Amino acid sequence: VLSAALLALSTLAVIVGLNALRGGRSEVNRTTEIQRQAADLQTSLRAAETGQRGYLLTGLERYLSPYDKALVQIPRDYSNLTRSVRDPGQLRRLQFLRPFIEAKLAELAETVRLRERGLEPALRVVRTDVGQALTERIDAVLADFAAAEQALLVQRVEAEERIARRTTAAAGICGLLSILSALLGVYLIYQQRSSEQLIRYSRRLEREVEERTIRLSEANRELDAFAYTISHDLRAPLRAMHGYADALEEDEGERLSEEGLGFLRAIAAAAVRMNALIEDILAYARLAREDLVLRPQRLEAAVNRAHEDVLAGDLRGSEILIEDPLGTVMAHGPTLQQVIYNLLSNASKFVHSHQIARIKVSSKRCGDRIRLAVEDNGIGVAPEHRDQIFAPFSRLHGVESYPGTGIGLAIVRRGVERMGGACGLEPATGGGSRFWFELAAAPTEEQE
Amino acid sequence: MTEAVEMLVVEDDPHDLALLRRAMRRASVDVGYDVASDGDEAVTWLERVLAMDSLPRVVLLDLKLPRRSGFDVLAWMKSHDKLRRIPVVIFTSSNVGTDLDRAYDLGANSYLVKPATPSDLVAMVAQIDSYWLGVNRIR
Repeated sequence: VLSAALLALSTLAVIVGLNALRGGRSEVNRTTEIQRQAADLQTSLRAAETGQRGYLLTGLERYLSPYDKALVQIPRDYSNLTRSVRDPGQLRRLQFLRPFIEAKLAELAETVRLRERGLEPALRVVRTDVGQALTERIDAVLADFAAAEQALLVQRVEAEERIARRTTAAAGICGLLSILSALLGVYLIYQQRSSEQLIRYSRRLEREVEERTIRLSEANRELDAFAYTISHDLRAPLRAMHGYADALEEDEGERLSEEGLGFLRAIAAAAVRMNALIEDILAYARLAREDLVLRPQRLEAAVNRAHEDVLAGDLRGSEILIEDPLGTVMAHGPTLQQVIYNLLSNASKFVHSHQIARIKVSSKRCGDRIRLAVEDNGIGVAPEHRDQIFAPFSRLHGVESYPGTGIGLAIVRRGVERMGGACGLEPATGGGSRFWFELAAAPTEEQE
Repeated sequence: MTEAVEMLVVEDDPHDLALLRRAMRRASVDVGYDVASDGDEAVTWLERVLAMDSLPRVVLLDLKLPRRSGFDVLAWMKSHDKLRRIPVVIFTSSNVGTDLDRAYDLGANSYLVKPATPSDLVAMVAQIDSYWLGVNRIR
């Protein structure tokens, strides 16, 4: 629509411009016509004078022929001229000229009449120089008129040129506008096309998201089934291995050598380790897809409970120092419990041999979050391993020196991230490690 | 099939069953029991003893079973006029919370996770005996 309107506007501008140009043309044509008519008038006057002189000199009637024609022609030329002229100044000049022409014609007629009586009476009139003076006057006025008309012509040509320029400019602008409107049209069409394309793309994207969501939920269902299969079918034979080994030791242990008993215990220990590995994989997998509902959780209670659990499974024991209060965070209870348990378990496990782990748990406020740090006096982590240590199944040490599945810290990271937090590791002042995680402070915490 | 059958054990895993038998010997649990190795067998067995009017004192029921699952057997029993009063002890390797909730919703009387070691299993069998069967013995 805009493009069409612009086109119509430019067309209108061109028409107006051309009309103005045509008007200018007719003005120039009239000037040329006036100049021609003025020249005609002068020619007729000259013809009258020429005829009169011929008649005066010869006295022959046939010399009067141009005079007679001119007598008829002069008033006609004059009237043509006054009809053509529109410029007020020129009209005034013509009116000024009229009595002189009439006087001239009267003088000519007088001399012609006197010549009928003889040459001398006519020559007397001629010798008064009245006729000559009239002619000079008439020529002067006509020259004046012609000059003025020339000036007008110049003005009109200039005006015409202006109009031409204006028309050219208008035409140029029209052309430009047309090009612009064409470009605008192209742009609008392109815009429309690209918006149509955008709609197509977004529809396709929606479709793909939908399809992927369906595939994802299918994958999740499969994962659930897979996890169930692992937890049940994989652990059943382990239970059997472990059970038979223990049963054999209990029932027939007295008949076995020390080495045989050692083998039995190795079977049982391997089964226990494999069971722990399966538990951790399941926990890690569950963390990826379970919806974690966050509620306010007191960190001190969680740390104390986790420490009891760690002590229950650790024969060497560990000392823990809690710098309370630790605060309250928004977390999923079981996941928070597992995260803290894994950190404390790590801290109590990775100590130099024949040493008791000393663990310090502290917290500090970081904006709207609370950062809990678990610091140990253990073997520490080399800087180049600090990133990889949070990846699943990454082990920096052999199972013989430090038992574990290599999933503990991966569970920590995934758990903390699923609860909207972050975790990290830095060297502790005493040479050990300082693991930390951050979670949003509970709203009650805000009020304190 | 003796008249002394006091417990039905529904268990498909021969190793679990073997360790359970050993645990019962070790715990000196002297009860007559029969074994059904899948859900269908359990239902058939229960229908037969129902017809003979000699119901067991307790059913030890695994959840993951071939053909008919433990949940189905449980639901069938608990909606049955004559069978719904028989205590059902779920005995499973599943420690998944949803399984526990579902079992109790369907009317399970106890939910025990299979222990990792034989000695723990012995202790558990002793508990089952004293709690679910001992009352009967006192009487």
